[in-house]
Amino acid sequence: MSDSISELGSHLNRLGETALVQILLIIVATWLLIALIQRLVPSLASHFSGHRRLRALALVPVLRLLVIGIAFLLILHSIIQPTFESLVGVLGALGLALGFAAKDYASSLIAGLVVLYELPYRPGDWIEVEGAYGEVRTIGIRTVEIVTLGDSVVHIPHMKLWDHAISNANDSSQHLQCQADFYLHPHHDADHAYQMLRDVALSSPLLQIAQPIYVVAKEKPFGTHYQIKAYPLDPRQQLAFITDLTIRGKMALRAAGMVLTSIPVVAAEPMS
Amino acid sequence: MAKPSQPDQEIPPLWQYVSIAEYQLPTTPVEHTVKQEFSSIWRQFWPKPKPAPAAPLKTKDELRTMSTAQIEWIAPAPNWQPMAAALDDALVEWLDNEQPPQARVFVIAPPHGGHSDILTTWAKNHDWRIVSPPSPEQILARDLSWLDEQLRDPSPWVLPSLERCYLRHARGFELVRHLLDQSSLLGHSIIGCDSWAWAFLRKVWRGPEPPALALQGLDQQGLARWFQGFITDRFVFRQADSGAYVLPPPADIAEDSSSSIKISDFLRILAAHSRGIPGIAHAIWRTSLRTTPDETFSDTAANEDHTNHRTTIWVAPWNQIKQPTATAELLRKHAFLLHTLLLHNSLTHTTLALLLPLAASSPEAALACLEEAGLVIRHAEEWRISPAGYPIVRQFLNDDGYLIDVF
Repeated sequence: MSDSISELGSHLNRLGETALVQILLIIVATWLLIALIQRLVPSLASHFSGHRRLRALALVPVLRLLVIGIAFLLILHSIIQPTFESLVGVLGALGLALGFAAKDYASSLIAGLVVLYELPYRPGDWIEVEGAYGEVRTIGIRTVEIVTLGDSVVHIPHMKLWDHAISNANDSSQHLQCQADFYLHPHHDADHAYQMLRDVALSSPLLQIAQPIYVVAKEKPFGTHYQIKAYPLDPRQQLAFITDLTIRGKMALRAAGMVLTSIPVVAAEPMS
Repeated sequence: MAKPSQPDQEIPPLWQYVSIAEYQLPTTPVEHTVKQEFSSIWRQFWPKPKPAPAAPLKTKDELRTMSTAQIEWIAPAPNWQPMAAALDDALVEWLDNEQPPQARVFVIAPPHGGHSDILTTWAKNHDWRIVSPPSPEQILARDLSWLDEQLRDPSPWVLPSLERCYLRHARGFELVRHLLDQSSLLGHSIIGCDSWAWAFLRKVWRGPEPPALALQGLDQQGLARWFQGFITDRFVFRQADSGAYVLPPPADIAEDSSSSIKISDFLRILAAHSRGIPGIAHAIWRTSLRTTPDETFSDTAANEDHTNHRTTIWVAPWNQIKQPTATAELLRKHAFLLHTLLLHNSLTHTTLALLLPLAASSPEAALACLEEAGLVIRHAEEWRISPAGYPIVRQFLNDDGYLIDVF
């Protein structure tokens, strides 16, 4: 080990200005290339929808890893002759530095590599991590960037992968289940309500009709809770879909003479 | 029900009804498919297609589009009688059997396939009762009196347009479910339905899959025979840029110059592009016809082949036929509207507004945009997808995961 470190030291001593310029150029070119990939591919993907868009977006992290891998090898080649010993020396020194100085950062970097292999989330997926729910926009080296339904951008370190549950609502498909809730007065024809809510789902132009429709009924102390569980055509339409189901459902239930119910709310007396 | 009997002659009948499983799409030329795919990706970014460089036999400036009267003469509106006769052939055993295993037969056709006209013609030929669809108000009111009226009369009946018996609305399915449940009890009946509506109704109605027939789409040869049937052999049809014959030339021309005669690929592309649907192929055919400015058709001295005294009708090359100017953005923005129109074949804007999501429930502006782009047309207050727009809209909806038909 000490031999390989001294060999590395002698290599570094031999490093001239040319090599430094070379490394600098590789880093700049890598950075530019990654920036280009991260801008160009999502921009191209935005012209498509459905599966084509997801496939295009999934290329970003893979291309980036490829570019980083090639850059790393080029830099390694310009610093040292990549013999087994020198390679072990470099990686060992790198590992020590990262392990002590930036443990969490390194953990996120490693988790970032695991993400590319295990694919717990990919661009276009709708995930929830520690209460933050949104669409994966970019998978960075250290963090995953999601855009919430409220249009906020949230950066989540990949290291959450180790000890947090990650909920993926569509798992790289176009199928994301949504639900619309209705509360009816307990005295009603449940069979009729069930059929009507099924028809409400079928009538929505946003419905992905190839996927199943579920209507779930549960008795509550104040009434009957119905849920329509169905899939929109595009996960990005989930809010519009839930809104459409809710409006259509309320109209249909009211037209059928069914009474919607709610828990009574009593306004508090103002303090004198 | 019998399959149509095969005549002794080698040429298959032009019009033939087959079961849906046996329906075959016309094949697409590989070159055209590659071009189409490339142009589809190209259009995602640059809406206007690149003009193709060419040295045409007849330039655009030398030709003009035909007048309405000329088009009506060269490619008149379809005559539905031969299609109705083909249905006779397909139903010969079923009609002879007083108590067939299936009392009702469904006839499914894609948009612009003419199922409603064919079945109306057939019903008149056979003096069968034609059942008119209920009004949108009756459908939404779930007014079953309409159905009761049909039940009272035991005579055989034809419902040409099942797609007009439902609306994609929470209250729009009950009537059609009752109709489909009870129609098998109403004696001999033939029910026509648009293929998109049928695909949707199979999700809405959980009854068993009934026997269904479809008019086989036309391939290159079929289109040539159909278009030739409109005219006499005084006309020859040649492609404007290459001079190749679009319809097979008359026998004397073919014999005289068999070694050098060029046959155009136009009809093969047209058959594939239109998916063999007669109404779509016919509409595009009409827009592709050109003539020279001095041509009057009565004056055969002008623009005629020297040896045979025939009038030449020039057919615009495929890449010069005006296509709807549909960008992916426009299609995506109005995809719900286009899909809703297809599921009902045609709708008034008032009914359409009831079916769209609330945010898009004022469809007038959207319809105007789509009409300008050539994707929708209006006929008697009803909007529908245009023949030229249909292949584009179908492809887009298919790519975006919408429910589509089987044709």
